[in-house]
Amino acid sequence: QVKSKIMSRESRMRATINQKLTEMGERERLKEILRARLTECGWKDQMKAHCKEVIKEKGLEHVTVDDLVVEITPKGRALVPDSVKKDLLHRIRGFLAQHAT
Amino acid sequence: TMAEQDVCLHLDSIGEVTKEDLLQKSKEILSYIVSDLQNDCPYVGCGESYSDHSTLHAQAKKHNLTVNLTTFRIWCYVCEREVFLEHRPALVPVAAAAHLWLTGMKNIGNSCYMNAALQALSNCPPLTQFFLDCGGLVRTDKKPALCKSYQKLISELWHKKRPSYVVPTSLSHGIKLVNPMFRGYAQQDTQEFLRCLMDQLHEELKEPLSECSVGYDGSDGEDRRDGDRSPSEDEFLSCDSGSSSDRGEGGGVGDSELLIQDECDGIRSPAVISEKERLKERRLPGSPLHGGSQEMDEDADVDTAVEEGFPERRPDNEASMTQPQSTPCSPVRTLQELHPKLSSSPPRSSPLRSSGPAYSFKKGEKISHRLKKKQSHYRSVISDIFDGSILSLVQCLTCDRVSTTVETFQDLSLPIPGKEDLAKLHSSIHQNLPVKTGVCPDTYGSQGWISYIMDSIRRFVVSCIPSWFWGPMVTLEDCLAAFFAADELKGDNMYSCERCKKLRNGVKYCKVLRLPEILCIHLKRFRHEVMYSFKISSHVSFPLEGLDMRPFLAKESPSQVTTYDLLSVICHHGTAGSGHYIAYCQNVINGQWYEFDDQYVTEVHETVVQNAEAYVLFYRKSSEEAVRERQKVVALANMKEPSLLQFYISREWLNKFNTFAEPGPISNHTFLCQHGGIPPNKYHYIDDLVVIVPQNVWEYLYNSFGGGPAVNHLYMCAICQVEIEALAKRRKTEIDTFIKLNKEFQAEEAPTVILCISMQWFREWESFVKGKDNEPPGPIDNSKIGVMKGGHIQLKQGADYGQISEETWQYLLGIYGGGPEIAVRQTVAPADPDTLHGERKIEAETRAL
Repeated sequence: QVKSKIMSRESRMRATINQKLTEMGERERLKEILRARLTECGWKDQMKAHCKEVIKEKGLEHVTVDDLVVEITPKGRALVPDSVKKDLLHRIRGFLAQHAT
Repeated sequence: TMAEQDVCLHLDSIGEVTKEDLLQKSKEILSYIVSDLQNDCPYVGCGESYSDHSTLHAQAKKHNLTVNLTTFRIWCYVCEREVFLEHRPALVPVAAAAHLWLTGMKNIGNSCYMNAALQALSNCPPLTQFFLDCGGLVRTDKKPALCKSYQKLISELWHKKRPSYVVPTSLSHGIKLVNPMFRGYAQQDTQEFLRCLMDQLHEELKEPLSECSVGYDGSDGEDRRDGDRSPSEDEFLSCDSGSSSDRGEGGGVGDSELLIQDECDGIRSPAVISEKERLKERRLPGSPLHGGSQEMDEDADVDTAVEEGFPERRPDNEASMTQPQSTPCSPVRTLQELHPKLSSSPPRSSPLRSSGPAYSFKKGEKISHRLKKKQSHYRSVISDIFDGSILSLVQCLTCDRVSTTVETFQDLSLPIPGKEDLAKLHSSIHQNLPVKTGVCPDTYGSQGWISYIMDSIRRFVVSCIPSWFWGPMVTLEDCLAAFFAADELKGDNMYSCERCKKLRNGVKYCKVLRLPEILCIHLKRFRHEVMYSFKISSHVSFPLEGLDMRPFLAKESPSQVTTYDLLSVICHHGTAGSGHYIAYCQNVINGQWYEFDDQYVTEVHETVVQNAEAYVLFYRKSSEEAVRERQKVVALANMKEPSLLQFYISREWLNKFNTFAEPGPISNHTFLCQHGGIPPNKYHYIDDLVVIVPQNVWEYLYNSFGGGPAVNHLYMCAICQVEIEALAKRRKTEIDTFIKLNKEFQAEEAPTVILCISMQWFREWESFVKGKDNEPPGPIDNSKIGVMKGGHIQLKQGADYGQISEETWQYLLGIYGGGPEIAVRQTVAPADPDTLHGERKIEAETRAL
């Protein structure tokens, strides 16, 4: 919401990595892998359950998609298993190392 | 006859010679003639491009200085380098500045964006002197090793026998590997090139700031490794990482998480969903979009931010897309344009490291807890010179709560205010209204409504005055003022107040906290939209000396020096569609300004520089005191006082002393281990790391700058050596034992007991014993793979586990402790896919061992 006037080193590097991944189609591949992993470890089901809770809490008539996103995002991030993160990180690193020369 | 008597018969011996031939020959001769500068010595002879008789003469007569009669460059035979008359203590006024031959750069296909940037950087003495004097510190394993290419370039540009131009091919190739955006031969943006180059140099050269890890349990002393741990390992384990953003009190969470962001997807926030939809519609054809472009399907990518309140978005251009197919030769924008974030506060802890069920810890030989890593901070010569920081304050206009953030910057991208903006800026200054230039938050709170009224009055007054009154010329200070001016957070841009727990109107303003040694300023002249790009060509006037940053400085700032002088400026001529970059740089040796236009280097007058269309400017902290300090130290050294002790000082710090206005405290700890010796891995290049200074110099520097520690004796640290050897031995023992035990296990046809081990823990252990990771894993943590059923712990369905024998389990447990012990159920048939899977996993994982 609040714009920063500074683009940090981290965001620049993230953008560069993202660009490299996208250019070579790797990003899409990784997304598919991620989707599969998040489903098989039960994360997706957990999120679905959480959404239902939020809807119950807020009432079906009043809740918007944006509300849901704001509500479940923090939990969603926290619940991604470390093993999944490690796996993705490992793959990204491998890909970048491969294409550095 | 008379004619016959006049003719010289010897003319025959030289054959046909014309006057033109003579002229040509004289030019050739002149090009290598040098003259002895020693008073009263009339000697003139040929130089080294011929038979070098002049050198013989110099050696014979011990006349050290010679001057080339064509270029008037002066050479000292003893110092073996070019010297300049200005360097002599100016007792005699210098008649004319020595003319320097400077090296240009060949254009290898629209590469002026790179050439101009490299020339500008090359004329930053703190950086160049590092590469020239601390060359041994330029080391990296990271490809494509741009630091080595850059080092080579710098040494060519500043060599005593430099060529008239260089071709920076290896840097060109390297940068294309780092960021594919630079591939091809289209024109690029010089500022983006600078960011990419400098980020990569930082990545390659960075070293961790020696930070104490929290104490360890039961092991021998602190386990601190300097430089062995990469930050990415921290990310890997706890998935947190260093971030440039630190929260102040009253702000949000302590650290921010660095998770892969979905940069190219749109904004996702309650107020701005429409933009997300808009962007989705504009996607490049061929990019997979599940479902209709109008609706959000359940799998659509969502971009969400982590940092509270400070997502990043290029303020220049919110709606631009990342179309690479712009008109040729324009500086194209990339995905970096588009990375807005949503504000939300995720919970802090990672489930893995929170306190779980207490396991009985068996004390083994060396139990080390792998604690949650603190943020690793890194520094390099790049960050030392160019990093500054900004303090941002956001105030909620309802509850007056102020939250602060510190952000690190490498350059400042300044907007160029238009006529109305200028009027606003000048009016607040002229009318002495403090509202938008950093009012102290304490007073602001109590005057919230008063300021609001004053603001309304001011706006009214300004609107009555015609804009031409304020004058047409934009100054650099105007651009800075516009950058640091307060932002109103309202409408689409409201602030999510933590105390009020709702969206509120707010105001955000920022100030510089730490001023960098070299301030890089980027003027936002280019604007890229989907269908077109355009450029603001208006002249922005900038000072060559005495840029004063005090109006923009936070009161908490530790920076003492606040004045800057211009070092170099990169200019762009032309349109956004096609243009050319050149650089104007002041030469550190003779103080003259030179224009660098690809291959062509010409000396220019100051006014030429002042009238140029600046795009990127490099300003250097200006301090006469620093110059005096250096002269004092040189004088102390020249005294050649005999000292009983010799003192070692960090070469890198000494370079800082020689080139920085504020070098900071002496940093000898960078070449020492925690025991005060040289770390074994650094010992073989210790000469690159240190310089010997006499006692009087050491004491002066130590008293002036502090830091240290004092080092009189260099020795390789035996303790570290012992630790390294012990670690290697431990790894070998653990691997060998595991392999032996596992082999025995595999050999069993029908094992009676099969125990489970969490693959997550196992991979950590494996990473440690294979040398990828210097931190041993913590206690065995089977919590994730087990589930309570009927009073005891059983293997969870679908758990990520491996199968090991009882012996292996007892061995690992003995070293690391932990648990709980989980056995594979005896009734499980051997053909169970889970069992085989588990077995195969351990096999696969350990095959490489």
